[in-house]
Amino acid sequence: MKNILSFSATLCCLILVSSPIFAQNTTKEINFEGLKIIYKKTPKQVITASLFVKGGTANITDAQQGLEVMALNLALDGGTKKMNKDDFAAKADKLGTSFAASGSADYSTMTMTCLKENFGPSWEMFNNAIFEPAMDESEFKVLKDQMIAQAKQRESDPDTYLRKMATEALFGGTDYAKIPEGTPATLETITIADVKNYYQNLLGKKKCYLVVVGNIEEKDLLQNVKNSLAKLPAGQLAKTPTFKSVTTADAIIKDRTLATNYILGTMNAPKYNSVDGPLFDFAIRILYDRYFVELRTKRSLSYAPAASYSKRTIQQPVANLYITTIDPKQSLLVMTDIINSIKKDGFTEKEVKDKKKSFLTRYYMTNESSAAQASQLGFCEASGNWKLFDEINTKISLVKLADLNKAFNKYMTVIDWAYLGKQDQVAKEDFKQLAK
Amino acid sequence: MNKFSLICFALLAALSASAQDRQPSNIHLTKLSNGLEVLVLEDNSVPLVTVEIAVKNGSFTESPEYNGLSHLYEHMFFKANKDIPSQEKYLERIQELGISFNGTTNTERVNYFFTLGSDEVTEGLQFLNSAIRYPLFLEKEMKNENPVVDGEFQRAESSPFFPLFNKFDHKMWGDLYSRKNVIGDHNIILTCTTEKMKVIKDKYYYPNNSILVVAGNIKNDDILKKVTAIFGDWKAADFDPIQKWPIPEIKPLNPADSLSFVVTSPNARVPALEIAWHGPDTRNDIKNTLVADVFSYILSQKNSKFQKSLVDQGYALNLSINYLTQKYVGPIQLFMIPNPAKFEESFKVLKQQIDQFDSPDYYTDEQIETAKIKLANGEKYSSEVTSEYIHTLTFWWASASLPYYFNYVNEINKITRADLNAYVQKYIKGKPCVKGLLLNAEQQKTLNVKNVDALFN
Repeated sequence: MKNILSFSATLCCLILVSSPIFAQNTTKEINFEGLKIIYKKTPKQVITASLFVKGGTANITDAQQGLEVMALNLALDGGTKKMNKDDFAAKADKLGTSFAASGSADYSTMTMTCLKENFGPSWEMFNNAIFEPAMDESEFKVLKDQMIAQAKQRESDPDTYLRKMATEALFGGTDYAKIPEGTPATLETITIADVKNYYQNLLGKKKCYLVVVGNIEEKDLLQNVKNSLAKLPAGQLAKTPTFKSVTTADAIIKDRTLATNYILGTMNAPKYNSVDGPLFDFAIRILYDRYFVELRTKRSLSYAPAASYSKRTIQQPVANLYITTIDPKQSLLVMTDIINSIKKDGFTEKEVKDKKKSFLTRYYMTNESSAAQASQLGFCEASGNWKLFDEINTKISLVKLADLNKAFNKYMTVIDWAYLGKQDQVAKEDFKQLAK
Repeated sequence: MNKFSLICFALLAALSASAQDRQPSNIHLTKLSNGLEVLVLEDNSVPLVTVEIAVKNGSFTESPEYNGLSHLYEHMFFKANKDIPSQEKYLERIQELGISFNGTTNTERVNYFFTLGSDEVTEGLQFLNSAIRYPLFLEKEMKNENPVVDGEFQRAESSPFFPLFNKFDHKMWGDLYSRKNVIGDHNIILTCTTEKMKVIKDKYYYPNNSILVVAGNIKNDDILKKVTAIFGDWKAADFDPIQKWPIPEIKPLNPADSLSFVVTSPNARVPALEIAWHGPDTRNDIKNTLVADVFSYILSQKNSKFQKSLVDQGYALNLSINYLTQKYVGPIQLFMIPNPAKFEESFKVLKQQIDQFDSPDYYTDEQIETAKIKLANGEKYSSEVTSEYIHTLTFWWASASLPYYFNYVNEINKITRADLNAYVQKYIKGKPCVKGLLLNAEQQKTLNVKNVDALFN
């Protein structure tokens, strides 16, 4: 079977910034018996249905980190009152259907992915899991131990740990500092009673919306929703997570013996659902290209320089400057010099013209997968309006150089640095700030 | 040709004969007169086209003094060529065409791919043609790229699992380690010269050792005309590179050798165990490459005895078994995160499970059928995203054959319980295997682990 380890020319994981979707005018919002449904019909045979639960890190306390993700996973993976875990898993295997739960700063999701021909029975299983999960104690223990092990592994992965350092430094004391998947310490204290109580009060039409992307007719979808998710209670309105912004320059350094050093700079960025959001998104993609050319191609300082617009903390998105390098001093200098140069001289007309084209390529590539589309539609809805998806095409085509430069300069001000690697290779003063 | 090889040959011939029947109707195969295979996949769901060229190159062709250089070559592909004078200009052209690009290097294949608007497919094909046929390998660009590729290596080394996987591969492949070690050797990468790049090009980069895939919003007839015009005069080699520079046969694992080890890493937070056997390959035992997949999928089912005994009982926090299809010895790999709270018992339970792999009641008929369904459905899912699916196609082209892939589901469905037992007995049960355990120093001290084999007994 194909399951191969490969090495590649570019670092895909870092450049896969979330791309908007091709507007085919097939996306539709439906209010069905009080439940908001975002529906998009596509021609391929895979269907993705995601129930978004708003609130994210606002729903849990510091001590409850991991609780929501654990509850959703136990619901989807631990069998139902009608069907034990083994039978549930066997049936899903036969249908080729998968169920998955995940958490993020502003929302969690319960997702079903199935083949077109198996939507009916898959949907029934999905809803049985949502409405009547078994929440069995033995399954809870297995899941809890697994989540603790995963939390420990995340701490040993340099990229994940670096992001945790940066998140704590920026958002410490607010909801956005919480880790949705939990820490080893918080997960350890969670009991089955906690999970049951939490889940019982979590889902409701005021807090949830459904995103369905795939080859299914609207009437068939609604017929299925009628006897299932439409029966969710109204529930409570979702809370909005608290957050902080980058206000003062800082650098945190953590010593770890690694083959290379990991650096992440964090800066404020505009909300995606704002005039500046798409402009900033566009500008950062050009910055990524400049980093690639200067830091990698010309100076050979890194395999993996990157700049990205991280929109996943919806209330306070951030810009990330990233590199892994054995020469951190020079890399930090060049990374800030490039931004200073753009702030001084601006982007070029050619960069804007070319980037519009590659933006479109990425945009259509996202449109190939039902899962990617569901994820993007759901994210845009959480950001303010799913229509951001359709509108982005027009917005990008209208981008003007002057507006781009203005948006870039407005937000690229103060950098909060995080460093994971050999401590003796850097000093605090190496972590440069931008020219005033 | 011995009797065994004859059987394999017959099976391969049968697969080839029926391949056309199973080939999806939107996929078209052609071979140009210079030996270049061309696969066109029509999918008009988005206005994009992806062009990919794959070459039978990779670590399997690398002796130790070339280890890691197929990968370095892959990086040099995206640089100066006769039509584009420098990497900067190359990247500029990428931007002008709005291309999303990448390349990957594996053990038995190197591939390069560009996705762009389908109305610019001709420009995309020309761009690919210039890069594959006419690289300049400029000295300065080579020197710039050596540390970049080494930087990719350093990122891999920073994973807490790297010490386990690296030592493991040395034990698995012995003196032919380089043939399975894609990332290579620091010194070889950093000292590589342009001459070595030219050697690789002259050995492997020919149309009759490559496949070109064009997929997306295009028409087969139109693409074939374009491809013939652009790639038709690419001169074929008058030899088969893999025959001219034969790949040495990997020696079977020798139980007399030291095949088990404990390795420590200060960054490891959870223990990790890997066990692997030398499995079948598509040159010598095609049928068992298919059986291996069914077997792995039986054991991955949550209601399998394997998962229930280890995961549900809390001995394993993560558990998987996988077979990688290869032309040159596919590994059968078992990976487990043992629960530290039940550390010693977890190894004994794992051994009990492996001992039962060929027991009559170890899995049900239903589980066999479910494994087949899962494999078949997996193919449907993998074809959803065309720009990614073509990498799957070129993987099978290199490590098996396209007829093998097109008939995969059909052949999987013929596999019986007897086939599964025979596979276990031939490749797993009682057969020498490598066992590696990753711990941090504190865990090693607390758990008092010195010998992995002792944990199993």
